[in-house]
Amino acid sequence: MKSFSYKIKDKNGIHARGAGAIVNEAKNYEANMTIKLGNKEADLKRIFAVLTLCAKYGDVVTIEIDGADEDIALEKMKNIFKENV
Amino acid sequence: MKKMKFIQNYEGYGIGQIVTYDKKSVKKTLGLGYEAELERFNDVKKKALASLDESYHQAKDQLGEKNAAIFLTHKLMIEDEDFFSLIDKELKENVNLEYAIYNASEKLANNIHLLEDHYMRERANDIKDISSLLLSLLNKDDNFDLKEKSIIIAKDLPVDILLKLDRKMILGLVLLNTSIYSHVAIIAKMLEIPSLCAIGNTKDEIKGLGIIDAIDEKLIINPKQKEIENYNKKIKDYYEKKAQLEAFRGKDVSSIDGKTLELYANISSCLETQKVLNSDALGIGLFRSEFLYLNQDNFPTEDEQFEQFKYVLNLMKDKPVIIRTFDISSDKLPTYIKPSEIDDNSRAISFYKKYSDIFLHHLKALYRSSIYGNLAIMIPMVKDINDVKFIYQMIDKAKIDLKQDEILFKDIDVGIMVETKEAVDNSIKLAEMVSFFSIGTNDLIQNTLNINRDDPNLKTVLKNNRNIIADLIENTVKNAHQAGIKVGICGELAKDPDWIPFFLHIGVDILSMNPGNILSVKKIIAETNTSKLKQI
Repeated sequence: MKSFSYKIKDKNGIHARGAGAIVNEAKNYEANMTIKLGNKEADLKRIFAVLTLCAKYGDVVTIEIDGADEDIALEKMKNIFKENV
Repeated sequence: MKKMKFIQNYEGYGIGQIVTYDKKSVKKTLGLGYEAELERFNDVKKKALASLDESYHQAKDQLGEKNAAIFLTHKLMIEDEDFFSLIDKELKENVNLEYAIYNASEKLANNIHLLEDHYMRERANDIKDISSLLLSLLNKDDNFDLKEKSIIIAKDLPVDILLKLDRKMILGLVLLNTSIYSHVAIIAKMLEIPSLCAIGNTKDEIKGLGIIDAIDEKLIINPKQKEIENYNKKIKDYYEKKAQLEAFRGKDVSSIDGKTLELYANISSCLETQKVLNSDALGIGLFRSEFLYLNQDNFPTEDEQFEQFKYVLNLMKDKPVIIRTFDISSDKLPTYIKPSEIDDNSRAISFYKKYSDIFLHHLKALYRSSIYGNLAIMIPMVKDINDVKFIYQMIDKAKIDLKQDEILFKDIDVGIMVETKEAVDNSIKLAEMVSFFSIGTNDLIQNTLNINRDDPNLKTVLKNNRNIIADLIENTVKNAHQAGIKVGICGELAKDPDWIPFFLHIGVDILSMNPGNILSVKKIIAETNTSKLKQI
């Protein structure tokens, strides 16, 4: 299992477009992916779940990736977060 | 209807039958059975995804990735497992698919409505949009289709529906209770539909013949014969003139005696970038970055600024983008700056010195964005070489900080705005220190002739003192060219037919103006012969 933390830089938090880019990328991988914020968590491959997590500007989220392709997924997901939120 | 206020979304006119769009409520009935309805869902899902794909590509070409991305998000919503489980649950109760979709969407929209975040609550509109798309694909009879060319008056028109209509049948569009920044309004602009956005709504029933005037922001229902004749003439003139100007699009234009000028566009916000791409401008000659500081509760962060600059540079690709560092003045003051902290003497440079941290962030955001396109920056209200020295000191600081954090940036051209008599007097020395000049004629006239830009006598005063201003401009151009740098004009005079021949004559390099004026100015240039003018 791999994981990384990320502090949200976008003033709008994880908004519709950002969530779309993240979920779109996450769906490419076999690994299960979860995003955690405090005591809430959501499946990174489900757009409504990610949106209703309501991650705001300044929040620190933790992404957990578990599966056969977790190594490559980790690098790609780190980039996607950096570029979109 | 009479009390509604309209805002132009996209200019133009239209006369035709009014058709209204309002979402119909969905009836709950007995379904065709779980398996059958499930198959219908899979079928309509495929159609919806294909439709959204098409919409995404169409929007991406014309509006850029950022604005087109909404269609990708809609695709993900339709494919979402949570969405499906809600529908599946409904279908197991033996209802019709339409109702299942409607109910599932309502549930999701309600969940989002409960969220505290205002921005998130707006996402409920996305859910309504996808539900409308699915429902419209399911019900061909109920389909919103135009049987004749019409003016559409719509409340909550889904983007997906608008994009599916036959564009040729849409004479005009009135979007009730919709902002000009909403997705559907942006798509309407992309499709070049004469359109208005209305603040508020109306309970009145609107039908009959209508005239949409998206130039003077009016909507006329059941016009009198005289009004119709009036508008028919207006429309004919407008589109004839437009066609005439269109002939200049994409063409290099020179005056009859062979003089040329480069034409650039002025913008005040990122959202106007698409206008520039549609305008035939060679680039952005003035991007007023103050907008980042207004309409906010506090100074914008470096990251926020960086994102906005990056967005514009990406969209403009290799076309030049000149961003003016923020010029906060007493007539456009953010709420978090007290009027006592700023006056005409503490604009720009003195303001930057007082708030040097803020200015440093601004410079860093600009330099960070430089790798995404063809950026140059210019400094407003520069008076003498000490101002320029200060700017270069700050730029060096910004570069050191960025290098320390291993953030990439490009070395970009730094120019200055020449807006005061002082600057003109110092222009020989200034020209040796910077990469280009841009003459801000609004402030130059205001400062030199001591008259406020809003003064109703401005035109007369300028006319009577034309030579004073003309000499200042001519000297600036001469001194710039002597030092081997280019000069542009970016005030109101740039589009003025009384001044353009003069600018051509003295060899101004660039004119920067409102995007909508570019083609008209090309026409003016093409019809000018500077050698034949007695008094320039």
